[in-house]
Amino acid sequence: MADDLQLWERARSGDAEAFGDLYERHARSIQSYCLWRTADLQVAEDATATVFLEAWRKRRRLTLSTESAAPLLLGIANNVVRRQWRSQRRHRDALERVRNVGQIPSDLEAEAIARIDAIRQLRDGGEAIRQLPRREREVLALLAWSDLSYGEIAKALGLPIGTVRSRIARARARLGDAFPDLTETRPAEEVL
Amino acid sequence: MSNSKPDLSPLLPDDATLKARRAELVDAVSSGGSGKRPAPGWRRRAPRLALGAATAVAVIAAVLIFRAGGDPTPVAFAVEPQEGGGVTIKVYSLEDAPGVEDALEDAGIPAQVTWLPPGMTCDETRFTPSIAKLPGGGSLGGAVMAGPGTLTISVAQSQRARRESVANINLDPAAFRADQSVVLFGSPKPFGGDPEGGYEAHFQVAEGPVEPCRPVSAPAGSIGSIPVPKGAAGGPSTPAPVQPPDPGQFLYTKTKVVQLQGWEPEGRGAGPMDKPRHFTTNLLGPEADALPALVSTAKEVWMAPDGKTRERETLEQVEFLSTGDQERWEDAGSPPPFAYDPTEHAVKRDRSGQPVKQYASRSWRGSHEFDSVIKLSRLPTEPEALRLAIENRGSGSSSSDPAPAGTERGATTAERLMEILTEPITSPALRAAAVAALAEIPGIGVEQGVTDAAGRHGEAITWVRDRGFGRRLIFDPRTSDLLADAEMIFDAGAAEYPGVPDDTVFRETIYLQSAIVDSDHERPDAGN
Repeated sequence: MADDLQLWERARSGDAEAFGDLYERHARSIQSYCLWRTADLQVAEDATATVFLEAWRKRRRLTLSTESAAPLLLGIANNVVRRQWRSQRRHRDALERVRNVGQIPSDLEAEAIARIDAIRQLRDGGEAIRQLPRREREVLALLAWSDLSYGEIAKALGLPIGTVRSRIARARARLGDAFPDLTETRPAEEVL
Repeated sequence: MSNSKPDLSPLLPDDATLKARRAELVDAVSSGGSGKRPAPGWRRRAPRLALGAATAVAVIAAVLIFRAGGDPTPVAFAVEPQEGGGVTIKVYSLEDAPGVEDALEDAGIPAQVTWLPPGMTCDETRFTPSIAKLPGGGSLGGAVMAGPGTLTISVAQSQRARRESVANINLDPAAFRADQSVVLFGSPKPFGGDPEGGYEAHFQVAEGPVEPCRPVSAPAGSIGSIPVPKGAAGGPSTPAPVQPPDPGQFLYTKTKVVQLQGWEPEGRGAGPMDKPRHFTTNLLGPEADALPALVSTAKEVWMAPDGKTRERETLEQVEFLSTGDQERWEDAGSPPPFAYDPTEHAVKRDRSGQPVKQYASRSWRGSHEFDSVIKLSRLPTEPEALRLAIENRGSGSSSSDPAPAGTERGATTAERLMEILTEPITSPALRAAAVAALAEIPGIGVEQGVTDAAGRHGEAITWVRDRGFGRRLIFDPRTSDLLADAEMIFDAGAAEYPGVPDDTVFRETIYLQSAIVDSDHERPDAGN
């Protein structure tokens, strides 16, 4: 199986199937990240599609500086979500009102219920984090919802690694007990 | 406050969806090139002809599925900026009244917006009607807007709006005094066999305080309801119910909907993400070069007196009007119509592999569904008396001849009589009177030996309207039960539908079965 570097190089030269492989490999983590940032399935799905279309459009100008394409894609996702946030807010509010009207479970709706529950958890659980200043929020979102190391987060956001560390420290101080449980992440942290 | 991550897996695409989206993405990014690639494998797995069917009904279902499941579907309304200032508010469905209110307010128009269930209206005495003077001359008072499709409200300077004039109505903020505001209310109306395929919205400038809407039943003759199956499905079946279900019971109805749709082999971008949408009604018409096909869906509805509703829609077949087109579509891997595209909607497959969509709702249609039964039971069952009652004319009226269908009065009368025929629960005597009253209206024809799309024979009431379009109600002459309600393209040239022969069904609802059942999973047939 080709690695991300090979796939990206093939995609850069116009190989759509290679790009499709990258999509299949990373779409879920991009969507997780977008979900966490937006707490809205539709916005997150649209954002995920936009991330890949943007990546394709800009492919000739972008090179992978890590073995995984995730930092590159998450960096794009960060910008896409930031742009969509404002324009989609009104729609999101409208959708939320619509969504909460008169639904009942039936035996075929178990999946739907699970989706609603997950969205609610996202909204409730992520509230404190969404109130952080944007710079800290972006770093924290990548820390919590991607498998990126500190070094990769720095690459994704185009920041020095020291800045990433200091932003995480500030966020941790601000959030206290509400800081997300991150114990299972960052295996590669000390490499960089 | 939680400090652990929620499980996002229900919100992430499953393997099949991921593959489907990958295929769409690969399609999208490579479509700048030849476009001659073989269809992706995930599409080939679909059984031939087993895909298809986006209908207006399906769009309604999509909105509901979204509510229940959080899947991506259209929003109730959208606000778009106009070039040179002002905004356009497009109301796609009568939902989210507070959102529309906010949008109007943001654009400088204080407003009170109320969307009501079918068959309801607002008590009119809650505000003082007024007239706004337009800066360039002219005035704005009230209006009734109706139709299928989108209700479009423009908020802009009246001078510019007059030049562009694409909206149902333009509101010029400069025309309103400080004490004036807009009252807007409306409800879904049947259109083209779809119970809520259309809308009727009332707009009025008010002065002084506006009280909240007090919902009341709409006046007689304005019956909001859904068409529900009657008659037998190709043979003896349960007789159509004559009484509404008791509490705890459900009215079960089974219909088949056939809709003309267009497919563009090369696809084209649509919507904010430029995803290729190969197959929708939007691709037909004078400027489109899509290949026309008839797409069939089966629809079952369970509906209780308290408004609890369950619906299930199955995609049946996609039948192109030309064999060559059919082969071209199958060679492309039989791409599904938009409403059944698994990358866009929550679509499952039933035991035979047909794509299926379902949803349940506690009170979406409101608990007014069977109110009209009482109203209908009070109507006269003698044809002329029925027509006069519907026209709100006393029997002593001097002019009692039916107005021709080409006049406004005649058209209104004909539409209301047709609504009676599409009502779920009526007496055979009332149906017979409605058929006879329709037949007496000049401009409406009666045809014999007509066959519906399920192959059943009957007679038809046919109304050819302007621009080549018209409607054909096929009924059983013995019982006056409605078999099918078809919107037709009688004259494809006048209708500007190139590539479509005359007398093509644009949209047909075939009423297969209706009965009272005891649960929302019970079917009247034995076995299920």
